[in-house]
Amino acid sequence: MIPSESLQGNEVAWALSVTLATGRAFLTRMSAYLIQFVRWPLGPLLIFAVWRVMYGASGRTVVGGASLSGFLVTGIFGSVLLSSSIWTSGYAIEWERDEGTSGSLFLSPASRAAVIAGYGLGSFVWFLPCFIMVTLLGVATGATLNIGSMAAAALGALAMVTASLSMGFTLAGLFILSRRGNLIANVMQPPLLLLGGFAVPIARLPLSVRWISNGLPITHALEAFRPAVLTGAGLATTGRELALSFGVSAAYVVAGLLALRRVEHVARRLGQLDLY
Amino acid sequence: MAASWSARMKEQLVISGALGYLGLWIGLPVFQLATAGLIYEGRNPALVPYAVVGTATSTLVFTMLYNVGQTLDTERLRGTLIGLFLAPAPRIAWLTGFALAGAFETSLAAASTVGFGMLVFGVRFDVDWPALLVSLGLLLLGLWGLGFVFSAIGLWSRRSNDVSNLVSPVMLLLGSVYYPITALPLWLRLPARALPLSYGVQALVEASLHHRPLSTLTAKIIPLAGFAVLLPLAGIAAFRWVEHGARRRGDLDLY
Repeated sequence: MIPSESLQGNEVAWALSVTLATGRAFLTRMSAYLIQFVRWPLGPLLIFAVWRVMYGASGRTVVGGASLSGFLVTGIFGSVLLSSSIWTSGYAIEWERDEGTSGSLFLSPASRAAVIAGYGLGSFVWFLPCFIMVTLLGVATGATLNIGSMAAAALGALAMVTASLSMGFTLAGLFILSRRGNLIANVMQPPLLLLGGFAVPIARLPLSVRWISNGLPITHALEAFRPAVLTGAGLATTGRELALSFGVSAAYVVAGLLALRRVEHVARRLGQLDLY
Repeated sequence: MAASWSARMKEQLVISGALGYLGLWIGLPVFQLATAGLIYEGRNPALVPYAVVGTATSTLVFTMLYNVGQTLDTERLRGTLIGLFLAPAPRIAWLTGFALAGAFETSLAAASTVGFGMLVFGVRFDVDWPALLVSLGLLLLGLWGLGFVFSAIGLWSRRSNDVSNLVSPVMLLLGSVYYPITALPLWLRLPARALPLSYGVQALVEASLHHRPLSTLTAKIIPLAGFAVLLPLAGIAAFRWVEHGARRRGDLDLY
């Protein structure tokens, strides 16, 4: 995983190399078991189907101003990216610790942030077939694309990916420092799936919980991405949510880097990371 | 049985902490129900009480998959499976003890789901107790057996968590948890009718919300009774198959 010596003078190239190497390692590890090829794409497809049947039973055909299937396809994208930030980039150091490689990781000169980004990047690649299959299922059940501004759609997609990675940075430090990473991940996932606005529009959530939704970068990213790809909204409409998404993402990255510094301290100075 | 129940309970509480334990078991079904409630409210509120009973019942499935279904493989990963197989205790006793610890968690999750449904969505019950108890008993027997089948599959595949994660959304889609079976497209109703959960949820909905007596539920109770007989037998057979293979090959803790 350590890049060649020729890269060691160039911090950016080195970090990129570590990110790519970690992403490749993630994909290799995930490909080791056949069941992984089935379960990861199938899970979101089935959840899409559950939500689609629920909405069908409710009699709603339009949700949040978009067609039902279009709303749910984008919601599944968001939920997959949220899962990615919790279970891959967020769980990056936990994985290393579980596999007994966290000691080597902290002894290596590789950037921890690049390793986390590598997990996130690997998961985006891993989920590509899932995104394609969900899109095809969405189109087959009535979803239609309506892109009025390529810039708004592209920036919306970029905001989604950035939001996922930024949350991963914060969660990575939180999970490892709490020593209850698996528990926190399991406890936080169900509420975030609801509060992120993936299956139910944010406007339908009670006012008392919307502040949590507003504190999630993925919520704002989805609020920008959905209208950009489903109702032809341009940057004038989605600009505010895009700005909020990138702003909140930046705050998460800063929090994540501070948490990683603390993790570094615990690992190197106190030597406690692999004691539990 | 009591010792394995106690060990599993202590382990869960120590790993999670009391607060985390409660958050995990109360939070998951409550937020799933909240999603269903928000989808149905205002358009088809009659489905909200259905979803309350369905979500509460689905907690049994999650225990069956993630607790009973992963028991053997979890013990293997910890390196204690060989010890359990060699211990001079009936296999069925410690397996059932582990399952009973799961039953405690299920009760907690189901109770919180029902409480949440009553408090937040104003759901009211009109229970026919004999019908409820018979339906629940038969469903429990069926799921108990199915849990051991999945436990054997999990150990055989060495990826029990992946197996559980693969099966649970199938159960949610086809198990009539959030909607009656008639809400599914025709081609999905056939596999849905092959699951004990769909009959169990429909019977429990009728018995707990509409005061339907047993005599009116025969179309659900008879298949449930069939599952209650066949699935435990399948579970025992699957367990014997795994144990036989493990003893013959001696490869349980090799990877």
